[in-house]
Amino acid sequence: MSTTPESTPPTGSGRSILSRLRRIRWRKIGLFVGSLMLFILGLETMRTGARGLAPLITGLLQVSNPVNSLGFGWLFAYAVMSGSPVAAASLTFFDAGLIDQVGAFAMITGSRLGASLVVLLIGAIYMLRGHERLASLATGVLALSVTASIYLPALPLGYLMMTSGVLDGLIPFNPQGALISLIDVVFGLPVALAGRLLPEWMVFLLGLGVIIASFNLLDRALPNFSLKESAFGQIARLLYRPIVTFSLGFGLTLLTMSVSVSLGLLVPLSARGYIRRENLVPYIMGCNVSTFIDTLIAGLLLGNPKAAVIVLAEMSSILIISLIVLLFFFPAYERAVLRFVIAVTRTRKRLIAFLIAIFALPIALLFVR
Amino acid sequence: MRILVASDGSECAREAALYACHFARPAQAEVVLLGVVEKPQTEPTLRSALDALREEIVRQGVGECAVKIRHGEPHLQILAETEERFYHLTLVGVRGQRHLLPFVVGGTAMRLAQHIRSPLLVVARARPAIRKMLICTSGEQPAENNAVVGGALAALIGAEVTVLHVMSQIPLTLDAKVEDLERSAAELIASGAREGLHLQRLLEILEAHGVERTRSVPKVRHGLVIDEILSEVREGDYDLIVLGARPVLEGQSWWQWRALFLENIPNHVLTHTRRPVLVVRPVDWAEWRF
Repeated sequence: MSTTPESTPPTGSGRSILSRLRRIRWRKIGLFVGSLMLFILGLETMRTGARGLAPLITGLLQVSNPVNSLGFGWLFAYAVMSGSPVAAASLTFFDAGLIDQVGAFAMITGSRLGASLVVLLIGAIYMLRGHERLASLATGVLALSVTASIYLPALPLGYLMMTSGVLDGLIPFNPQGALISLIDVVFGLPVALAGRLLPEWMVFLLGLGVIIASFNLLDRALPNFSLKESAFGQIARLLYRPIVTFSLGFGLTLLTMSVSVSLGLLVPLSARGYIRRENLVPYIMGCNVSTFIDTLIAGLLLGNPKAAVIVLAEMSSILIISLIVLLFFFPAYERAVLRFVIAVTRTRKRLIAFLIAIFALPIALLFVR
Repeated sequence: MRILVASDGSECAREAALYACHFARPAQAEVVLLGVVEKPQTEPTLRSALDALREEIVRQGVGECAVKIRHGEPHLQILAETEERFYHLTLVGVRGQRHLLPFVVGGTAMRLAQHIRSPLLVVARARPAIRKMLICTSGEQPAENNAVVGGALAALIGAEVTVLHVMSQIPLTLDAKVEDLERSAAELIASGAREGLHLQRLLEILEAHGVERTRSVPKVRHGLVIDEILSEVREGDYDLIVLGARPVLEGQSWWQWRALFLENIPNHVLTHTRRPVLVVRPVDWAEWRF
């Protein structure tokens, strides 16, 4: 007598394998793999179309030095309301020879400055409509202030690290190996098709759109982190050591690859929607270091070791400056940043002036010759 | 009441011992002067210094004062003494310049502040009288111990008490209740906000320990916690500051080790002020009713 597999009851070990398989969140894994594939596809597409933006970058905008690149990356992030796609784009521009290594480095820094404004912009629109009080925007202004005050001093350090070649040996493998061949096999056809059917600049925009979609998909693929039951459950009320919240921000952004997601993870920890500022400043500093992980992956996927070195220089210089601040000047730094935040959010006029300034500044940088 | 005064025979230890008299006299407390001998040849000198100090304390009107000598590392011997016998209060004096304090007091007072279970009073510069006390609270339940110990001592000497909470929060979301972040202590109490209820509870504990409502004031400051505590200490000219400390690590569970993540506020305050600071960990409330 034969039995079909469906009618056979699973044995003890079979049952445990089945129950383990059922516990795996296949949907999340599917979303994660899908977002990764989209990320690679978007990157390859952008890379193919990057040259098409030459008339805009080297012609119309004349992005020719690191200062222009900083402003360009900053404004570009405003335009797409996100930093990561712009950072990836800057690497493709470098790969296509539109900007040099230092320019790409500055553009990535600009992209993060622009990204930290997004939180503030949403809040400002909300506030200008009369919904909330100015103080509600403190976190947005704080994120931008912390980012600018760490990233800008890190620029010269990163430049030195990049040009001195100290980071060159840190890329242990040749990215132009099997991985790149595999990417060519899988994504070569659709990218080539897009290249044949569309003008180059449109191919780039298509790639940018795909990359933005991949980040959105990745946000949905993330498991639900619950910090509430962890040692950090009382982050809204208790005072943690700065190095602890710095590490927490670093670790969570490394996992989530998004500052806004890792900041969002703090929200459920506070029933009343606020957090101790002593905990938030180092947390943002930690986020700001590991937020480059996706750009590092992009650098490696491009198969251009120099592109990966740019990102390593960015991460290392920001990490070094952050640790120096954290270990030696943290109380003074924290006071200065918070004083600035309070000054900006004190009156509506000041906030509007601040918003105008942070729009005018990158535009001005674009015209520095 | 039983008070332990750790002394190395120095002038700052003498100041701490005489400061202890503020509490020992009205409480008719037993004072134990503990000297720790690190090198055997120093024992006779230390013993005679402690005997002289004992006589001075008795002259201050303290009825019962004994001298005890132990041998070994000072902070370990002080800890051992407090583990072997119950003391309501342990006092240590510290010396050194303000900016060198972290290094100078790192030896004994800082280590004690990290490991001692009973309330520890660190005296950098004794005050002539104790009229004003500042009890700091984190806004959490363990801070009730600060009110128990601080209240019992304040009632003993008739001091005025300010209960301070620092709101350092900023809004994380656009729909946060920002009004609470700007309110005074009275407004928080009136509105029934979390911090207000906590302050109210601390005032009740103080009253239960003998501090009348007319002598206790709740206060809320807004800003960075350590900065605001130090500003309040300077502006209020307090004679004694009471702070809570994170629990002593015993290595029994992860939940205990998470205390390592927390900021060491007493450490910061001790290094930045020369006022006497009382560091409090959870105590048996019944033992703190005199």
